[in-house]
Amino acid sequence: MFDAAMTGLLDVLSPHSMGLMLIGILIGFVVGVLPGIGGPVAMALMLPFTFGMEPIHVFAFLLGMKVVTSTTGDITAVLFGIPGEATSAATVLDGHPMARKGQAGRALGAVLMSSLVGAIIGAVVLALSIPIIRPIVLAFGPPEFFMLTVVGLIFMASLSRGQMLKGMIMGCAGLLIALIGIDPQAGVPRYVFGQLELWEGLGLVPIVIGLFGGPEIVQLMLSKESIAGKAVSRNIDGVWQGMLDTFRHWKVVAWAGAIGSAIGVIPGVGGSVSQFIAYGQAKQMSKTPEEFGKGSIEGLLAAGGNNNAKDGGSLVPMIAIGLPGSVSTAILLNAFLISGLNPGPEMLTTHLDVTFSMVWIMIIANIIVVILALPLLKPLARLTFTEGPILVPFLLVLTVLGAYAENNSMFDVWVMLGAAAVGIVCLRFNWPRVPLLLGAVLGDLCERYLFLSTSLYGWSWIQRPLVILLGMIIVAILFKTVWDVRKSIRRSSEVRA
Amino acid sequence: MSKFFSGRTGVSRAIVTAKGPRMQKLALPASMALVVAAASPVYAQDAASCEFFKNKTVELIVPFSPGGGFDIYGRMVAKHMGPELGAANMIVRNQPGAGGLLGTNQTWAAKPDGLRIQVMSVSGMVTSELGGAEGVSFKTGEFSWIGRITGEPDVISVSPTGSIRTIDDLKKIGAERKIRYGSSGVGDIDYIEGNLMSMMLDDKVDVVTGFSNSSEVYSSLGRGELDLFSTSLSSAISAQKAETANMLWTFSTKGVEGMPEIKPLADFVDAKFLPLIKVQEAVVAAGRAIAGPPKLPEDRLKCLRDAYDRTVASEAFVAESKQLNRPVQPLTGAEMAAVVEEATRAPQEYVDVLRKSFGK
Repeated sequence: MFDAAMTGLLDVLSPHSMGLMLIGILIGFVVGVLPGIGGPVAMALMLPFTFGMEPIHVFAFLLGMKVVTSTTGDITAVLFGIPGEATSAATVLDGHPMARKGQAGRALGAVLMSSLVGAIIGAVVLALSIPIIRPIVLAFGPPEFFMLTVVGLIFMASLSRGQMLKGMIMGCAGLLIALIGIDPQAGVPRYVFGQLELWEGLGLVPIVIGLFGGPEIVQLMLSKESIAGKAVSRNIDGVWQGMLDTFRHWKVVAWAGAIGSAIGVIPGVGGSVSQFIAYGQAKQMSKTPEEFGKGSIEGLLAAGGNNNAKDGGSLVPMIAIGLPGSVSTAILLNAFLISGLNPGPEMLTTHLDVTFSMVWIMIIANIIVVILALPLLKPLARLTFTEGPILVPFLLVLTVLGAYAENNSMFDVWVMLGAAAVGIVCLRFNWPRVPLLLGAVLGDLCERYLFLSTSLYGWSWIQRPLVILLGMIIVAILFKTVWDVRKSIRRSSEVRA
Repeated sequence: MSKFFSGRTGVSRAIVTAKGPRMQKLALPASMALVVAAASPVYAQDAASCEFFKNKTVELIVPFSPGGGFDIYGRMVAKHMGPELGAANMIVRNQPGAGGLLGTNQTWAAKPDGLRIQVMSVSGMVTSELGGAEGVSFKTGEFSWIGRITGEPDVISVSPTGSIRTIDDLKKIGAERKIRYGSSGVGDIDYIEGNLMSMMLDDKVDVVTGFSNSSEVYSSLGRGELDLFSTSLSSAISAQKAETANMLWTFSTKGVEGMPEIKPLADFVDAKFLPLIKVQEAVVAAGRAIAGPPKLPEDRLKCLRDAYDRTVASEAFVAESKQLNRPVQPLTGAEMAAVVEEATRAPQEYVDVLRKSFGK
């Protein structure tokens, strides 16, 4: 195994692989920064360029591109409050308030370093899981996936603390949105109103861009000031401080990385949910949970650390049994097959070096992106001091393009505008947006896995050991949330008395 | 969730190489046709009508997202067919939505000028049309068929961890409990095949839906949660290599060349079910093909068909399909039209199964 790891490393370090990785990183850097035009779209468009390449070169190019988009998507989220990727939504929650306070430099430094640490955690988890990869993947069936989606839903509660009722209502609205489309069990169209565009449900990318980006753009337009216009401090030199924050709060980053790698394994759930679970978990562990959402460095580090770790996790089921965990791993799977590789035992024996090369690519590409991004952070942070009326037209174009690009569909642009309207109303009347997004993502998965569990096992699925274990975790999280809420109510009533 | 064509849309896991003999068979008539044409006045007329495409951009619509199996085939064809047609460009445009129906409906209604053609998921189109599926506004037989790309047979696999190795094993399980047949969606080809199997096994099959794509069904088969699942041969080969499937039967009357271990289902079922297996075989053989809107002018259709035939016979195309591990089994436009006609002339018994599959 050690030999394979070394061969994999040497293959990745060859000039050809490194050259292709650099090209991939540069492309990934740009598309990651642009909202909506994310990793999956870029990888799909670049796939034809890999025709005829050696497997390791293909992965150096495509995987290098993919891991970078997660990091650079966070940059847009911090600077403009518009997630560059659907998986960067949690970064907006604290990263952007920090930018507004004039701490864009510190926020960018923190997000960059926590992404790197998260990526290394994800890569290590992938490497360590290689000997036991198949039994692990095969141990998780629909009942276990269902329970994990319930864990995600439970975090709605901790993410809505302080406004629990509003959070629950928004979460339910999200679950209702998830009902739109052809139902997975009987094939019946639900709430599609005769529109073929709605058969596959509402797209996640336009919802995320609209929900988070829309209100920011309107605020910028109305205030006519720069993003950090009202900031007291104008510290764009905080990049190093942000990087050090990653190590100062290493527990938060480590937890976020571990959660990302674990949740990344679940097909379909991946990054769009794990970011909020990591964020919610950090909030529960924090001594200052009230800071979350207002520019908490812990919240930002949790989002950043989780984001790249999930990439390692999502490769696990793909390598083990050919089950892609996300849209981008599905494209990677096609790249596998095109280059003559087959997921499964081969990847753990004859092609073990290729599997290890993927681990190395994840680590090296992330180190390169940190080095490349460092000199750019200061100028980027300066953008938060640019006048709103100059920025807004660019942001408008980018959000519309981002919503359109995934499916070449104007319908998605309308969805984005609808989501933006909802986002603006939410912000104006102080309703939380995250539970809505969580409900929309998890509703469909929750329904599918529950039906599959009962179709395959009847009700006996409840007795499976992992299901029971996950059930206990859910009860513990609920108990902790109720405990914390009661404690804070007691504390506030004491203060009032 | 693509419900109608997703059996062929998920991650395509093609591994089988291009079939050499078929290529040679095509290459010969195509080159002969060129020699004959060059010496006749008809060629001049053809060349003049093909002038239409000069300096024009032809759009090849892929009704699914980029990065998938259909997209790769589409890009392979567009790259080689554009120059053969003499067009300035042949570009691939992805128009995903409603499991491929969105793009297909639009191509059906598009202006028949030869500048918009599409990669069609023909098997899914035939079954949804015959089954009366919602959202279908086309008649498959009336498209202007340009040529088939692939038409692999479907293979039924069992769980590698289970005890099923023969039809008798299946019947034994059927006597104890329902046999679980995985499906990637209501109305998909695998769903229809599950229902056909149920008919052949005295209603002892339960078709399990809710999976989002064929990879997910295979992983469930690998865990031993399911008993059976059927996909195209190349997907099944891939799953067998990943040790999540064990291929046993083809859904057809004949076996697979070079793979004697995979037996035709027709050998094991009651003779009264043979017509059903034959029509399913014909539907599956319709595979993936290129077509334009109905009523494409004869001369332009001929240009497109000839260019397609030259494309699939060209060494560069064959080499690329081998290099990319994408199997091709081309048919000419006229042959493809005949295949579609045969598939749509299904017996009422089969149509009833389809209508049941689509909840009609």
